[in-house]
Amino acid sequence: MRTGTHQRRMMTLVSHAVGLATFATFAMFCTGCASSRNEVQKAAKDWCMTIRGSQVIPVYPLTEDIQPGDIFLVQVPIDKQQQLYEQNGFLALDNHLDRMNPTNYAKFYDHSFFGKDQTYDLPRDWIRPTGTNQSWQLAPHAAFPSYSFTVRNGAGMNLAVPVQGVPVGLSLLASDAASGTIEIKDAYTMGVDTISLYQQLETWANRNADFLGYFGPSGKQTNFLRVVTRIYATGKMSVSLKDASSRSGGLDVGVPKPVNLLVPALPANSTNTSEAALQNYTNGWNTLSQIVQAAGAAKDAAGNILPGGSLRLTAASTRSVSMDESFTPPIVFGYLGFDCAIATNGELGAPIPTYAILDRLPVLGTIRHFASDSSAQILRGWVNHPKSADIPADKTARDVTKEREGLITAWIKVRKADYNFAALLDRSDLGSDRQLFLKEKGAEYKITQ
Amino acid sequence: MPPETYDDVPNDDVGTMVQNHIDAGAKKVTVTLNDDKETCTVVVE
Repeated sequence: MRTGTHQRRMMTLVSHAVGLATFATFAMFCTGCASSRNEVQKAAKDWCMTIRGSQVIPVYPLTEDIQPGDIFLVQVPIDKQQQLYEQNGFLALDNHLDRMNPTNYAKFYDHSFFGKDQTYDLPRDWIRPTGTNQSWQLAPHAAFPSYSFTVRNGAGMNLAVPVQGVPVGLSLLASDAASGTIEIKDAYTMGVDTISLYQQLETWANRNADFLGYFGPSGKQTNFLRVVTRIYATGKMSVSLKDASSRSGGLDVGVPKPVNLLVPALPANSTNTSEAALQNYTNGWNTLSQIVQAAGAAKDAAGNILPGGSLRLTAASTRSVSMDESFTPPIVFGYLGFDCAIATNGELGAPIPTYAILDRLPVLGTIRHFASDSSAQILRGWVNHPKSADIPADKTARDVTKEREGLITAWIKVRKADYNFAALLDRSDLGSDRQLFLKEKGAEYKITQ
Repeated sequence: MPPETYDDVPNDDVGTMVQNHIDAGAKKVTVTLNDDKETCTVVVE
């Protein structure tokens, strides 16, 4: 009787424990779902901010298929681009118009990375070299600072950091919170000068003027061509993760974490403790390495390893794990470039560094010189300082000024010019237009010196 | 459109220039006195 009561109590306790565990799992799942999207966005942004901190515009997701000379169409206004760039950390390169083959590589690298009397057909001979040279090995090297991050609430498995070592490491730790670092190793760069690329772009734009004509300015909307001048690639990333979770509550849901393999219990009757410990550690290490390799090596139906990163464990303990992720061939993670506004008839504006546009730096934009010629002085005087005789009794000088601004605006509109009346008054490069205005309208509007 | 920077505007013309560009729809006009104290740099956005 007493035994039966004890069994019932135990069953009740177990039932409560299972219920509690189920509730805990459900709660963690729900919390993970609710926060997963934010975590992913935050992680993607953190990653991109790190790359941006190195004055490089991030490529997201990572890809091999971007190279100097690539032309993208950007139809998002600059202020919106800046807003998106700050929100997401990167800009989608989705409207890939064309790929120019830069012709100035030889001159650019002739006295540095091209051997004497050697010529290379770039980017192919650096990206996919023949012979014993490995991919990207001949390209100039680059170095980047390490990237620190934290993850919480089980979002690690969906983490947007484009390195699979992070979710694999989190699963090894079986952690709901971790802090870590990613170090970009084996980084390479390849680029070409802006001037030669801009000249090629002008030739390209002339050839495709009809197409670009569709994307000329309309209203306040200006479209841009974005041209990649330099790319950065990496062959290896090192990922280190530290378990940052707190288990003071004592509730463990799920199976023991894999890194516990490194500290198994010693055999009770073993006489050689150190040998047994070493053997246990080696066995645990091998098992972990197999788990990591299995997680990192995606294979196709024929058993061939698919392109992408492969993982190799480099260090592990019960609360930390480190691994290297190799990209063979190296993969592009950032770029530099310039933007050109598309004017009417498909003509191009001056090249402006993409980085300057996106980062809200104190951009000077277009440099203008204040007009000081006689036509400017006459026109500014007429607009801003109307003579007393020209001001009707029921109006103020300011009213007359506004009217005259409107008259100039109307004249500009008829000519379909791409500036406003204030620019006509002030820009030194519009002297001929001012003279034309004075010639056409001077007598009608009684504009005198 | 990218901002336009006028780097050499005489002080006497700055006031009317700012007013003209605001009338023309500029969202922001920044005036900085140059080292010569005679001219200003005006950034029109």
